[in-house]
Amino acid sequence: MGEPVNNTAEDFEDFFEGSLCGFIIADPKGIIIRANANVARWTNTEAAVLKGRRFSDLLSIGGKIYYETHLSPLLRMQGFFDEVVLELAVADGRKMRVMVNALERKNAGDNPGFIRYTIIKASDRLLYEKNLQIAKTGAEQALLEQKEIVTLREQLIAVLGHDLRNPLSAIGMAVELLEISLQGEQQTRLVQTLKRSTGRMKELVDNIMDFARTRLGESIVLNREEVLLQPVLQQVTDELRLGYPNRQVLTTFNIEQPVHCDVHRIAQLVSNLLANAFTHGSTDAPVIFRAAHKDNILELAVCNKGEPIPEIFRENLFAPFTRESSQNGLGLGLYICSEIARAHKGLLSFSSTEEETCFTFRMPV
Amino acid sequence: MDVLTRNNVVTSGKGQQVMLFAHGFGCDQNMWRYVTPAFEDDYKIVLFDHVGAGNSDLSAYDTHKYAQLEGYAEDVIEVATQLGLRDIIFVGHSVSGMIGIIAAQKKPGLFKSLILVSPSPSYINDGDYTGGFTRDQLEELLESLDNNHLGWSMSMAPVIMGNTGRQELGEELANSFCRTDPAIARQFARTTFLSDKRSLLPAVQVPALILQCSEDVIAPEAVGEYMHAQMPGSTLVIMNATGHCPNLSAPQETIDAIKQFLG
Repeated sequence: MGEPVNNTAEDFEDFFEGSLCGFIIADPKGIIIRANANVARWTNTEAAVLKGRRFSDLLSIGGKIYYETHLSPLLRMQGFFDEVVLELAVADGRKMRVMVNALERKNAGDNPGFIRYTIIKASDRLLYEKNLQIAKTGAEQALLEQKEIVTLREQLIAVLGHDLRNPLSAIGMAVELLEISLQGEQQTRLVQTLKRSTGRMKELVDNIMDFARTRLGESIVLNREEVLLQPVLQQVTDELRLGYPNRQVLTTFNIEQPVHCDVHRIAQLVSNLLANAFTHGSTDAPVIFRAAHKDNILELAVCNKGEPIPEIFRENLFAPFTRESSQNGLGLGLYICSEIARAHKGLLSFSSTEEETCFTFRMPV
Repeated sequence: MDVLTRNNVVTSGKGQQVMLFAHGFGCDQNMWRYVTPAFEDDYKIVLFDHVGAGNSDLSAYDTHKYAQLEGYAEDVIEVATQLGLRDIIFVGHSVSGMIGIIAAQKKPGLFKSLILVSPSPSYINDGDYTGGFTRDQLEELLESLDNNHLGWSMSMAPVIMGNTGRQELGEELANSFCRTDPAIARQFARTTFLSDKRSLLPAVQVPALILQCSEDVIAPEAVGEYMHAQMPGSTLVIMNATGHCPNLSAPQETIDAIKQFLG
């Protein structure tokens, strides 16, 4: 290999000896008739010495067994095998990784005449393959670690949320007591501020806990009971109105039968949807709140006029943390609403056009 | 589970006397494709795939069960029982030779005779015993199995898709031909090469034919001689065929030797 060739014309002798491949011609039993210089060089011997040896003798022990038990039968039955990774036994226990193709040639009587082996050095290719494998294993490991970290973080949020509740409710109670012994308008205003902030904080903590729970694979736990919903919906609407004194709500309730549901969760869902409608809807038009029980379906719909929901928010509207950055809060409201709907085996959906934006909760009753 | 489906049992032949052919480590019942036609007229032929090979039910593969050759022997007994067979002529290639001996001892009367093609009771050299492999070589083999170094890990599918040159292998065969699940092949190699069943040989009660190839790197000639010496009433035939698979490389010589033994 690499030596200057005297005559410039291609000849087969030079092709056989001077190629970068290892070539072996063997009899049908796999006994080497002729091997080229590359094979000899790779196996650290002379081409003449290779003559008469079995092809599988050139292989590492694993390769030899694989050859005799798998490849040789395959070659016999199929007439060829190709792209098989094997190891040539070099010297002092070292191995060289190669790709081998083999073809069984027939003689005139359709009997096996001889076998041609083509051997291609594959060290780099296989090293590359191995590196890919290592990188893949590494990436899988990293992903696993990240998943663990995320779970830990979510557990932390759940625990934190839970632990924040107690001091928060102590503050809330203290504010209530303060309110009773109030003197002067300024104090009243301060206490009202305290009260609102405490209430808001409690809501945030509750949302965080709901979120963490659902992320940890638990769904929202329901305390279902048979309940007359209309008075409850009315009360939620009235409470919300207090917070938005300039806004109007038109309600149409048509639920005579008691409904089997978690009344606090339904109230939470409605409260969220109404608050969203007040915040995002047009101030010129009233918010429409319809509730009906028909054909075994409970349907609650909250609609408002105004700008439609921008296209880019629509796809992930119910995903957590996806609020427009201009708003305060964590962006968990609609996520938790949809989880409440899911826990009730129902569905929260929305439609938004130039005409109006509607959020509709439907559940089977 | 239906054992006949599990082991992809295929029966043929016009005769009454049953010949049960068991393939060895490396392929499937296709190993016998050049041998069985010679017995179709006079015998009932039963072929099957060991679980994990060929068209067997891979979901039936149980790592624990098939870590021992006994697991495979149980399957052979179950197949024979399901078909209501007794006094069978058992023909086992390679490791299936020992699987047959185990089955014969577990269930006397099951086999009338044993034909062992390239068998070996133990592959490791041990004192005076020549198994063919040194401990170091075996370690190297086990390491290469663990490290996926070789084609063991290569799916055979791309190799077996295009079936040029051999007309008799139809389209449907092409896909199942010699199919090996790489993980199972590695396990099977482990089970095979770590087994040592030499102690069973003297207790073999039925007549046995040992077909020993010359130049078999898996089971050298000394192994055939050892088995012949250990098994009372055995016949040893040293074949001109070389390699480990005379059923493929020298089908006629294999057929002749079996026919002469069966008389």
